[in-house]
Amino acid sequence: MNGLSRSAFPWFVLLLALGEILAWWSLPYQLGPTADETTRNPTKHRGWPEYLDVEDDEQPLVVLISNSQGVGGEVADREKIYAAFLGEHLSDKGFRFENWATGGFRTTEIELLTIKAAQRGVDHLLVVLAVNNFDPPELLNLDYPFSDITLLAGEPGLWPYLGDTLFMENTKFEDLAVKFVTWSSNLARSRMAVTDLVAAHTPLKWHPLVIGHEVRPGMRLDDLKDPGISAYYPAVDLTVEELAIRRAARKTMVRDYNRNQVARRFETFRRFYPLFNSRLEKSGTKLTWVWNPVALESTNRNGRSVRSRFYEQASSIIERSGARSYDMTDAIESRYFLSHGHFNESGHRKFARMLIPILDDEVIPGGHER
Amino acid sequence: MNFDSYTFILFLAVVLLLHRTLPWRAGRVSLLIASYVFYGAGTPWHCLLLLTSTVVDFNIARRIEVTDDRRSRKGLLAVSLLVNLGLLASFKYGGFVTESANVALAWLTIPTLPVPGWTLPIGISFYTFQTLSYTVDVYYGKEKATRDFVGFSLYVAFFPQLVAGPIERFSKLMPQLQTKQTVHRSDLEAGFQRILWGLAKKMVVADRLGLFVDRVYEVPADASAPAALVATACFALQVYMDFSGYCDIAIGTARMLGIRLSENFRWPMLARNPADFWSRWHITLGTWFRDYLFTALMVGRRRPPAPRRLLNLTIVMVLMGLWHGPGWNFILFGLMAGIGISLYEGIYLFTGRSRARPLFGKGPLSVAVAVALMNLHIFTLAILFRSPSIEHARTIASDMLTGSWSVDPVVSIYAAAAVAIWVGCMARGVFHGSERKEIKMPAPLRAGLWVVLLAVLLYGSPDTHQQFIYFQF
Repeated sequence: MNGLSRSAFPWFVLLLALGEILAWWSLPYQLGPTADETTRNPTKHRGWPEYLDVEDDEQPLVVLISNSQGVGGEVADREKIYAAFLGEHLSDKGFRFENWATGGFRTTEIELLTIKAAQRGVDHLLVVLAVNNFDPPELLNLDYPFSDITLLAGEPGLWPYLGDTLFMENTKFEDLAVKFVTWSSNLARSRMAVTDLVAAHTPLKWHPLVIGHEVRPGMRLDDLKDPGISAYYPAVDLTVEELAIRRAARKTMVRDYNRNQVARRFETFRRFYPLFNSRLEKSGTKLTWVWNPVALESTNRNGRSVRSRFYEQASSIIERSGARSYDMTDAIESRYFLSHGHFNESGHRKFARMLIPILDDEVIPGGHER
Repeated sequence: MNFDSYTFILFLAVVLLLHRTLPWRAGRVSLLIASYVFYGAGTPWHCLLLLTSTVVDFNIARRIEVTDDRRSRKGLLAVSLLVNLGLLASFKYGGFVTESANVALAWLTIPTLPVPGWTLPIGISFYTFQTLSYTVDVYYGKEKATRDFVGFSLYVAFFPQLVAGPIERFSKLMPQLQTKQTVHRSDLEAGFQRILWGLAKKMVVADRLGLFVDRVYEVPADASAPAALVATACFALQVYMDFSGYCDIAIGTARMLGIRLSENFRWPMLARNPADFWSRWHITLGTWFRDYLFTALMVGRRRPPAPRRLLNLTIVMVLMGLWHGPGWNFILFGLMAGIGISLYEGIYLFTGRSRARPLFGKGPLSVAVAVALMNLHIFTLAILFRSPSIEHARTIASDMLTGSWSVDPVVSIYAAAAVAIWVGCMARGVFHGSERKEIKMPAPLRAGLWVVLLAVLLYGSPDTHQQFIYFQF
C-alpha cells in the first residue's frame, strides 16, 4: 500500500480504467448493434453478420454483397431499394436474406466480407458490383476513409484468415494493431464522439482545420448547419459520409473508364478472384455474380468499350470457376437513374424485377448447380 | 519508427522490461540491438550506414591515440571526416549540388548530369556529427579513445536521440553507458511525464498549427497579408513545439532508461539578441558548430581581428543553415541569421562596448523591446525556413507587404492562438527559470496530470498525422 500510494503509475492505470468505464457508459455507440446499424458506424445501413439474431437456423441464408446501389444510393426509404425487394421475395420462398451492401465499396471490403460469409456459413452469395469497386493494386490497403475496413480489421477473429487477402500485402502489422487498439477501447472510441460533437457545431469549411479533414463519418447533413450543402440535397436525410461517397461516385464514373485505370483494376480482379473462389468452395457457398447497371451517359464511347472488355474478361474468369455471371451494365435506361448515377425508386424496382428470375433460377433448389 | 506511434509504445515497453530484468551487460547489448531495430524499422539497409560510421570512427580514434606522427594523425582524422561528411554530403546534398550544377551546365548548353534520387537516411545529420565530435576530441587529446565497442556503438546508436538529437558529447553520454545506472521510480515517472508532455506539444499544438500553415504556404499566391503573417508566426511556433516536443520525448525516454540527455531548448522566445537566441535554440547543434567549426576557423590567432571573427561567424551560420537542408533557401536562412548575429557582435567588437551593457538597456521596457525585436527577426527567418524555395519565400513576403487586408475569422483565431501560446511559453520561461525544476506532487495528483495530458492528446490532436519536422534534416 505504501508503494501504491507513492507511485503514480498504479493511480494512472486506475484512472484509465475509470475513464474506460465512463466512456462505455456515456458513448452513443453501443457495443451490440441492431440489425440495421453497425456498432461503431451507425451510418452503415446493413446487417452486421455476427450480431444478428438468428430466427431460424434451418432456413438457407442468402447474402447480398454490393456497393452503394445495394445500400439504396439516394433513396432514403429502405423499403424501396432493390435489396429490400429481393429480401421480401426470398423470405416468401423460405430463405433468410441479409443485405451486406455498403457505400464506397472497395476490394478490401469484399475480401473481408467473404471471409465473414464463410464463417457464417452463408449458403448463397449474390455479388452485385461494378468495375470501380476493384481498386488499382497500389490502393489495396486499409486507408480508405469511409470504409468499414477499420471495423473489420479491428476484429482479431478475422486475423487468421487475412493471410489470403490482397490488401494484407500492402498492410503492416502496425496498421492492424492500431485499429485493434482504437476500435476496441471505449476511451479511444470516445475520441470520435468528441470530434463529432465539435464538428457538428462548426461550419463545414472549418473542418479541415478543426478536425484535419473535411467530413466526419456518421454526421448527418442537418448537423453541419451548412445551408449550401442542405440546399443541394433538400429532400434526403443523408449523412456526410453518403454525401462524400456521392461526390466520389460522380468523379469515379467519369474517371474510371480510363484505359490504364481499367487495366489495373482488372489486374486486381484477376488476382482477387482465385482467393475469393477458394474461400467459397471451402465453405460450400454458391455464387451468383452480377455486374450492376450503369447510367449510360456517364461514360463516353471509348469508356464503354474499355469497360466492356473488363467485364468480358472478368466474366470469363468467373464462369471458368463454375459460377454464373450476368453483365447487366447496359440493361437499364438512363431515366431510371439519378444525376449521380444511382437508381431512382423506379430504377430500384426495375432492377429488382430483373434480378428475381435470376435468383429463382440460381438460388431456389433445382436451379443452376456449379 | 516514429515516437508518436503505437508501435513505439509497444517497443518502449519491451525495451524497458528487458532493461530492468536483464543483467547489466546483457541489458546494454539488448539496448544496442533495440536501437538498431528502432532505426532499421523504416529502411533496414540504413543500419549499414550507421554501422559504417561506428566502425570507422571507433577504429580511427584508437589509431589516432596510438599514433605520434602528426601527419599520420591528421590523415586519420581526414579519413574520419571524409567518411562521415562524405556519407552525409552524398545523401543529403548530392541531388542539390547536381541540380545546381545542371542549371549552370544548361546555361552553357552542356549536357546535364543525372540527378541522384537517394532518400535521405533519417538521422544521418545527427549521428555523423555525434561521431565526428568524438574523433575530433580524441585527436585534440580532450578524450581518450575507448576500447569498449559495444558502449561506443550504443553511444552512436542510442535510439532516444539517434534520429534528431540532442547531439551528445562523448564525455557526457559514454560514462552513463559504461556504468550501470540505477533507475529510480522518480526517473520512470519524470520520464513518462516528459514523454506525454512532448507528445502533447507535437500532436496537439504543432500539428494543429501545421494545418493552417500548410494551407497558406501551399498556395502562397492566394494568401492575404494577415494570413501570410499569421501563418509565418504559427510556423515559428510549430517548429518550436514540434522539435522541442521531440526532444522532450527523447529526454523522457532516456530518463526512463536511467540516462540523462542534454537539454536542447531554453525558452528561445525570451532571447534578447541573436547570440542569446542561438544559445537557447537547438543548443547542442549550436555548441557543436561553435566548438568544432568556429573554433577550427579561428585556429592560428589568439585574438583574431574583428572582421575575421565576424566573417567566420557568418560562415558558420551559413553552414548551419545548409545543415538544415539542401536548398538555397536554407543557405539564405543561414546567411541572414549570420548577418543578424554578426551585426550584434559587431556592435560590441567595433565600439568596445562592454557585454555587461545590453544594447537596449536593462530596464523592463528595454528588455521587452529587445525580446520583441528578436522574435521579429526569428519570424522573418521562419519564412525562409518554411518555404521550399527562395521564390516561394519571396511570394510570401510579398503577400505580407502588398497582400489584401481582408479579415478572415480563421486567421483571427489562429492569430489569437499564436499569441496565447507564445505568451504562455514566455511566461513559463520567466517563472520556470533556466533550469527545469521537477515539481513535487502527490502520486494521485501526478497521475491526474498524466490523465489530463492523455486526454489532451486523445481529444486535441487532429486526425491527420504530420511527421516530426526535424526528421527531414
